[in-house]
Amino acid sequence: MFFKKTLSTNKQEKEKSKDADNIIPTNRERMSLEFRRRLQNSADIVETEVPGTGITLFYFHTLIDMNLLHKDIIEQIKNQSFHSIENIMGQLSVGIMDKTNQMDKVIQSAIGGHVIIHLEGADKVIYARIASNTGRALSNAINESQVIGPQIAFNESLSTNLSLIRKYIADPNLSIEDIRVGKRTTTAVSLIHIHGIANQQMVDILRDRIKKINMDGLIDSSVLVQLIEDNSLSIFPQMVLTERPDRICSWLLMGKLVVMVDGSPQAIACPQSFLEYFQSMEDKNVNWQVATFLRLLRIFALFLSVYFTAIYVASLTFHYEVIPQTLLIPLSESRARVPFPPIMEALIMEFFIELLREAAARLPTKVGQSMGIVGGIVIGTAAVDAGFTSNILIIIVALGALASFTTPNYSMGNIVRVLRFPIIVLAGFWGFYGIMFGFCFILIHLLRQSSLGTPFLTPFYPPRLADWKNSIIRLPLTFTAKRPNQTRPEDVDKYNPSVAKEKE
Amino acid sequence: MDIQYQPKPQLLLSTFLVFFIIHDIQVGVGIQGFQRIIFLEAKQDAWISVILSGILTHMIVFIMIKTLQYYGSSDIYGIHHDIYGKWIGRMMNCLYIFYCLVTSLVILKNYIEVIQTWMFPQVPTWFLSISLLLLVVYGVTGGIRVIVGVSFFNIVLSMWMLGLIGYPIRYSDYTHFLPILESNIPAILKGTFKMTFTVIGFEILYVIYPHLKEKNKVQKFAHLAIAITTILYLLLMLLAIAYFSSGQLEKSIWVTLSLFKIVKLPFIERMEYIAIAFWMLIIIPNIMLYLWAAVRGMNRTFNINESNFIWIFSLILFISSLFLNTRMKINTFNDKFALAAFYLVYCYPIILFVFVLIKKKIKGFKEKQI
Amino acid sequence: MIKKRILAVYLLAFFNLTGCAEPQILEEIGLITTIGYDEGEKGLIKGTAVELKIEPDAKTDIKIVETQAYSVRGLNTSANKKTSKRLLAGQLRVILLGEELAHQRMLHISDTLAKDPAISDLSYLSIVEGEARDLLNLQDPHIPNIGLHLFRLIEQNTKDEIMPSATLQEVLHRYYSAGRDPFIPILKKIDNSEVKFTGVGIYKDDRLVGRISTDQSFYLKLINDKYKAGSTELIFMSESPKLRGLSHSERKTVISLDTIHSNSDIKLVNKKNLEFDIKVKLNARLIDINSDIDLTKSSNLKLFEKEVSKEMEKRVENLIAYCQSKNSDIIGLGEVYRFSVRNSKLTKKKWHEMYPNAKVNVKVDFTMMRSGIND
Repeated sequence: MFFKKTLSTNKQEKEKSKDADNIIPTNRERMSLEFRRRLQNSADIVETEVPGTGITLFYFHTLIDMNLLHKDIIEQIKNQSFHSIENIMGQLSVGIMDKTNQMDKVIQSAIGGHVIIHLEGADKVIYARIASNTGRALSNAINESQVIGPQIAFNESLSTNLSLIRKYIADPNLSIEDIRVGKRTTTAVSLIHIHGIANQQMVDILRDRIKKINMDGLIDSSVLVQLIEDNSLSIFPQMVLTERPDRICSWLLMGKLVVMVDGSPQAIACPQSFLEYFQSMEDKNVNWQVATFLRLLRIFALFLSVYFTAIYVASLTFHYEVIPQTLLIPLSESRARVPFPPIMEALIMEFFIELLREAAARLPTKVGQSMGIVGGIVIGTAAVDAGFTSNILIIIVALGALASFTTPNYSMGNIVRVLRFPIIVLAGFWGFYGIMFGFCFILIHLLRQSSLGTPFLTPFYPPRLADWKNSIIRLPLTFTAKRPNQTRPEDVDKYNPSVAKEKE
Repeated sequence: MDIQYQPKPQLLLSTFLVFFIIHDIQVGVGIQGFQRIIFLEAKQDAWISVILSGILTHMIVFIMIKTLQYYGSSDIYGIHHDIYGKWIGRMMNCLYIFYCLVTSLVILKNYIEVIQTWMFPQVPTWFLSISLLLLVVYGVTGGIRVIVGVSFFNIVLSMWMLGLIGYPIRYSDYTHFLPILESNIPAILKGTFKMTFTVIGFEILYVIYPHLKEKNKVQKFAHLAIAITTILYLLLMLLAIAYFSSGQLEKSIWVTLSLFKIVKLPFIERMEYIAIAFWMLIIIPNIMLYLWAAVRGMNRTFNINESNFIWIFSLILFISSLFLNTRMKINTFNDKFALAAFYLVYCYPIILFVFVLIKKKIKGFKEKQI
Repeated sequence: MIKKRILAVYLLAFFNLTGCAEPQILEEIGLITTIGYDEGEKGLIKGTAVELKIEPDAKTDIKIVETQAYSVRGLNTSANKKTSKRLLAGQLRVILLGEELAHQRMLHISDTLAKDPAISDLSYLSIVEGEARDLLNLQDPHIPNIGLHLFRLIEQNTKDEIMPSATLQEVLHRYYSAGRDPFIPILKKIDNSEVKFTGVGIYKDDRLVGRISTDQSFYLKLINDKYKAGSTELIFMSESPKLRGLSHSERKTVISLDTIHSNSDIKLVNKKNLEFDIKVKLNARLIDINSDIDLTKSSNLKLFEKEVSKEMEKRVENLIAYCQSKNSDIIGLGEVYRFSVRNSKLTKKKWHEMYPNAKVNVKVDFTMMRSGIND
């Protein structure tokens, strides 16, 4: 099952001659030669002969745990004699091991962190997994940090990540499916869903999409997203990446599908709606009034950040009539010394803010902070003093940038910032008409998108009133006893609402 | 061609969306200035004309849906084919397609006229026309679900405009309505007739009907939409009569927009500028729906690929929008269109209904004989 | 697919270059905040515009631009010749009409302005005693921006219900009603340092035919509209000695009323002989009286209320008599006639023939709500 894909492609290439070559040589010398030849005579190949047994171990010393090798394998079999490999297997106490007579399999296992146990004269070899765990320990969620709720984040090891999920959801129906992606990297990709909740049709579609990928290597889940989402030409991502196991688990329980990639600390979840990018895990952990307030705040921030600068530009360039009398004089005073038209002024300032942000993100944390101070205060004030921009614009641009940071999802936050630029340009050329044109375009574009076949703007369109209870507002848990229609779940009820209400 | 038309399941729409479709398409371009036209006929009793036109519309919609229900899941193109046979049916279909296109043109052109008068006198027509049509094409190529989505969001997102009505209310004088029923009945009926231009749009039912999931609920939501539209028009009519004096009302062209002129918020004044720009969201789905209906007609009648015709029709719309360039031409065009629309939207459904009844009778008679 | 995209980018660039709207960038235009019109020689209109001109190095924010032309629009064109920035009227807030011009051309000017979509319907109209030009050229160190000063002055007084509201919308609304005539407040420059609200000009159709004083304008609003929180001062000769004022030389009674709350009701009682009943209900707080009458006594209070009502009735009657003599129906009795009589087919002309002979009965019902914190 594991290597079905690789095997089948290999077979097609070198059909007949290969079949014979693929059998394991019983002779140790020939085995060694063949092993080294296939692995390009790599410098980290080690051959260890276990004294007095006729057993030779083949492995990459860079991939396996040397302690385990000694303790669990060499110590167990040394100074004994074996007649068959089955005997050896009986002696070993390694969890994952098997035997094979196929050379391809041997090579794959060796790459995957197995040690190959070769007994002189036997027609099969054992491969036992004692891979070393190089990687970092679990740490706090930094990109999606929150105050209330679990603090842990995924790391780069797939098995650790899966164990985190298993810990949250101890359900026999949790299904983890292994798929290999990448001709050369053969990266392990896990497709996770809860059987009985997730829509089986969606699972099939997603599995199909992952299997159809034909590329040489897959390093990170963010690349996988671009390969499997519905419309990768759109600026909006239709599948979400998260580093929070609690988030993934709550989504699994909603009936969503999760894809994890070995070596990537971020899991993919889908189907995802546009609105969910503006929901945070924390919304579930605080009480519903506060959660509703925060969600409304974020939606307001979205509009503020995309349109505020554009409205400034449009009003000052075309529609001076709409400026209230009280703002008229301060606005004209601050604009009087600026040598550029509003659109240039706004674009320069936005560009400046983006530079600051990007620079701060690339620098080490401590330097980044001082960077913000230098940029924000020193250059900002200097720009106004020099008559480079108006101070009102600085406030507006800063507010817009601040608002864009409230977006809980990092990639959506980036998109919100990028969207601002075309809108400003439109506003600078055609005023309110241009802004509205941009708005309509984005609206139609969003309506055209789907995530795994689910409309992207759900639950607003197609309207599912029942799901509005947990959208830009969040009602108490007793009101949201059903799973959202978005995932078309096979089991609709999260819990029985009547029971949940009876607290006394 | 097939008389019956059963769209794919993923193209079906929840029936209650018909509410948004009809309400949206009715509240299109006429709403900006219908008050004056009616007022010229029926004076301070213009609001009675609005109510009458609402009632009339309810009746026509009832007949339309009854006609459609005889066929189960078919649209006007299929019914034409069934009633008139192949050739006359095709002719009638072409007429209907032509009507849809002309309506799109009227909507497009009237909006452009508002923009050019109010905001950008210098921006050329071709530019506004192209920019709007690009949005329309982008939406229509997305299919019926996207189009209905836009009209849904249009209604949800333009709710705030209702709040603006509060401002002119403060300056209203309710004695303007008195004495009630001073105008004679013919004048009021004439006002009702003039309302046609404003309330048309519900004939989209003829085309959208097969896409609705539960056909038995269509009546309910369609009538609800008509009722809400009528209430909205009534509200705006009453407000216009109360806010403006008769001489003013007879002079202003876009009464609804003039009502917004006095809205003044602490951070923004002159709300009509925002409202005019925002009107784009109201216009776009209307043109989309009509364009879609026309393209669907081509597909049903001649079995031609839809996507090409979206472009071809848009091009036709674009070119014809360039020819209607003065206020005079637009007004004449509007008047002629209103008359044609009255016959097609208000009279024709009754005739069609009678034809369908006769046809069914004959068919039933024949079947009995066999 | 990609070709289409490239094409789209080219198209977009093309639009940018050709379809661009003409910008009106805030600091590159001269904003007219106030404009005054005066009668010039040989039918010319003299326009005086206050241009808001923010220059970082200039002492004042405004510049007065004076020019002459035959039409209102022409003024704009010829004023442009004098300024470094294009003059636009989208922020126009106050329209001043010189006395001479106000007699004849008020309608022409307001109609032209109302037609322009850029001009707000909420701009205030005012008549200036003398020349508008003169008023706008007022020099006072405490009034650095005459346009803003005028706007605030009018706005404040209108909000406090001292000045009758006359925005562009309201004036045109009255003019275009069949049974109503417009009125516009009058401003006057005093000693080259102050502007004062001195009266209200009343119109017959579009002709300025007379003026009423600021005191009378209180009664105009009283019958025309509702008071929510007005205030007034009433000086009268009381019949009862109890109420005679102590401090006044002629022993006239002086009272001050505050938080006036009123509503009025006009009824047509006789269609043939044209007779109207005006009932005004008015309650207020007494804040000052110059006699030593003890108002805690109910008989005294009744007397007081009756006296005040009577005095007010007299004044309203005077106001109406004056308006009738000038044939100007600023109260809107014609509207009452129009909506009370079926098929009246009332026109302005018809009404002006009937109006001077109408009989008006006035009834004022004054109630004192309270009197300050001490009795």
